[in-house]
Amino acid sequence: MHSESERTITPAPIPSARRPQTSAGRRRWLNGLRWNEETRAGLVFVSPFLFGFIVFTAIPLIASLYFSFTAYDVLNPPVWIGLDNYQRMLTDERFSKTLFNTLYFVVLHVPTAIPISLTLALMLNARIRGLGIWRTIFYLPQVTPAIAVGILWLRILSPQNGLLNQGLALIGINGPAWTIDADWVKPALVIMKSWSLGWIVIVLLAALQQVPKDLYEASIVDGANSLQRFRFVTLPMISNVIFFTFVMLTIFSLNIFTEPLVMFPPQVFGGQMGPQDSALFYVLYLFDQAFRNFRMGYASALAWVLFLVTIVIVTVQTIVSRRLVYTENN
Amino acid sequence: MSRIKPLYRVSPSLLKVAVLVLILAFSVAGQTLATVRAQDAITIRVWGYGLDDARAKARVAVFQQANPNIKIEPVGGALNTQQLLTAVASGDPPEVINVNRSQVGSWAGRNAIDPIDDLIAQDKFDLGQFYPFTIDQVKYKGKVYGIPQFVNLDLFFVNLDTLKKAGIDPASLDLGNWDQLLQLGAKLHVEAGGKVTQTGFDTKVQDGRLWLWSWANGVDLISADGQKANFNDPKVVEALTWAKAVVDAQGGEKARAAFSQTQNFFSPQNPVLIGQTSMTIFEQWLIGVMKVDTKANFRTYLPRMRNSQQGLTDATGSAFAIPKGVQGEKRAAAWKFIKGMTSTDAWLAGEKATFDASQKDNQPYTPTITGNIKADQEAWTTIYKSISPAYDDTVKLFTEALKVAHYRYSGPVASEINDYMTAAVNDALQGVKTPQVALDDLQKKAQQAIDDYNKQPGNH
Repeated sequence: MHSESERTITPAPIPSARRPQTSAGRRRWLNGLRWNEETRAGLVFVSPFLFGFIVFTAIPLIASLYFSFTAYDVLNPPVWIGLDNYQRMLTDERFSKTLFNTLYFVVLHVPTAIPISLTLALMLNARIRGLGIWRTIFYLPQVTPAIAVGILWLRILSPQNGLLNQGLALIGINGPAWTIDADWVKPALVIMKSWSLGWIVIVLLAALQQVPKDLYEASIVDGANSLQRFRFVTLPMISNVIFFTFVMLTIFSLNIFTEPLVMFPPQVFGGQMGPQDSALFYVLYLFDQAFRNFRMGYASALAWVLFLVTIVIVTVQTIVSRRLVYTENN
Repeated sequence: MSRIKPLYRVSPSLLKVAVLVLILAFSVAGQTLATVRAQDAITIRVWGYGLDDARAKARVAVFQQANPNIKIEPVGGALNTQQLLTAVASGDPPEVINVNRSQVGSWAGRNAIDPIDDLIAQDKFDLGQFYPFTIDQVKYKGKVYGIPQFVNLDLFFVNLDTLKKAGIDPASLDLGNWDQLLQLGAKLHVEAGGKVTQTGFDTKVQDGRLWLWSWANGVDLISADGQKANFNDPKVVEALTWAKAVVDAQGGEKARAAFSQTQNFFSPQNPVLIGQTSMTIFEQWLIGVMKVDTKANFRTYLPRMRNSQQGLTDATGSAFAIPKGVQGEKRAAAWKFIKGMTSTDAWLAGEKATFDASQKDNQPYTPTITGNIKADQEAWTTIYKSISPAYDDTVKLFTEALKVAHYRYSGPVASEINDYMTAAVNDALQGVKTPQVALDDLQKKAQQAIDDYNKQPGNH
């Protein structure tokens, strides 16, 4: 007897001329396709993923969509309230603040992180001594636990006796209260995050090493200087990878969680995330609503709004990228 | 070559039956063994209470001596609400949790913990052995949901060296006189190179002490029945306006916050001990940190009602509770654990063990406030040994403070209201909003949170 999952496997399309015409023949063909060894092996190999995807992704995804229309505290049955959770966001000041904080961070972080990463990748792509060591050094923050990084940077950014302000004082600049002043908290987080860009550097470095050497040679023959080679060869050839890192970094930044939680724990600011909730980012607020205020329904609605915001941003980026990203086709 | 004839032949059917019988026999034997073991030892999981100090170990030892068949699996550190929420929702909760008493209402209001009145009645368990206010804190809608342990009380700490340096006579301190406190704060505040080096007076209003100062001014922020918010009462506005004036007189909130980020109240470099903070509200356990200096020149006072000599304090602490879904022998074992751990004998064993551990480290012993009246009295009078007048007077002050303890609203929306409150207080302190506007906004949000909760089916 065939299992339910086996029955739902859609056969790959084949040219109509080759399809069996009689009903008996069709049945034989379908049965043969369902039970051929390759299909079975394929199913076995993908079954762990399919199981994981269905149980840990698809079902929770659908459940969260349903919960977003309910008043649900996890411990008691959900009660259908229609669009109330979504309407609530319109009047929720902390929601507005959290959306603003998150978008502000994305706008500040993503455009600064990519050039910094690209510069580092270009440097690491050069033929310099001890290249392996340099690459390790730049990647090291990436593998340092986020909690350790957060605590370290809290000390570096301390307005009273932090290293950064002491350094700024040496050149006559009175450093801002990075961790105290609501206006400086997000720039402080951007500086801190810029320290952990190892993964982007690695991806861009890999892209740089894939640029065909003959293109550089041809451009040199044409008289291009190093800046022109970068502008007209390197950049176009790695533009698709830059776009990829741009999109990924945007998504990661929209989901920032650990660093602000470590640097600005609510107990330090008496329930607020940073001065005047300046470090309250979207996912932190979502988590807070779900697990501290017992509003899983509202948290689910927040999650879906974040999903939509992400989709919109990535769509815009994709449309814009058509004019900027070089591909084999254009 | 001839085949060797077997001596006997076993039919395949017989073999199958034999295997089946063997499997059944092993299964029955296994189940019986498991049942016997289960009767021998019951394991209970305790979340939010670690066994990593001498006090906890000694208390558990006393309990286990009387209940050798109950095995404890503790998970220390603060109670992880996410973990607990999912554990209860999935029907596999820990048997006991150690929960902040201010959160009992939140958990009870959502049916995450069960009332224990039946267990109390069944054993004729005497709730009178605990301070009455601690029992009030663990009640929700008239039912008892936990047994209290530990009490933290707000005291007024003063570093006398800094007062002397500023030429202030400690005898002139009038803690009910808010104008004097404001002036003293400004006088004791010290800056060097444009940075704060000594805080004059920290009201701790930014850390939830709006409750304390509002009580001191005669108002409770939430009505006793938990239904009415009073955040924009003129007396509360007055308290916050004064607290802001205290901070402003010392360089403002940003300067205070920047300086406080460099301080560590848990270290031997405690700001009160080393004179970085002259006067502050803090919980009484601070003497346990300050004891590294037995000659520390400090004094503790009971906070006062405004323009009065009547004392008051803000009391917090935790409680053992049993989550929803714990039943049968597990519930009975959990109850035994709670009773055992909060008994006078267990507490006294804990205090003696703490005393011994302190001696071993060449440190003096400073007592805790357990919540058990008899254990506290005995620990403070017989186990505690005089350290210095400053420490001795503080321990004596515990008794007086416990008589005037106030406690905060702990209803189902307590954490939400707390978030709104701290946001409003910080907005006012940083000058983003005036105290009146900040508290008007807070009043609306807090009342809305209470009303919204009541609107949900079955909540009122």
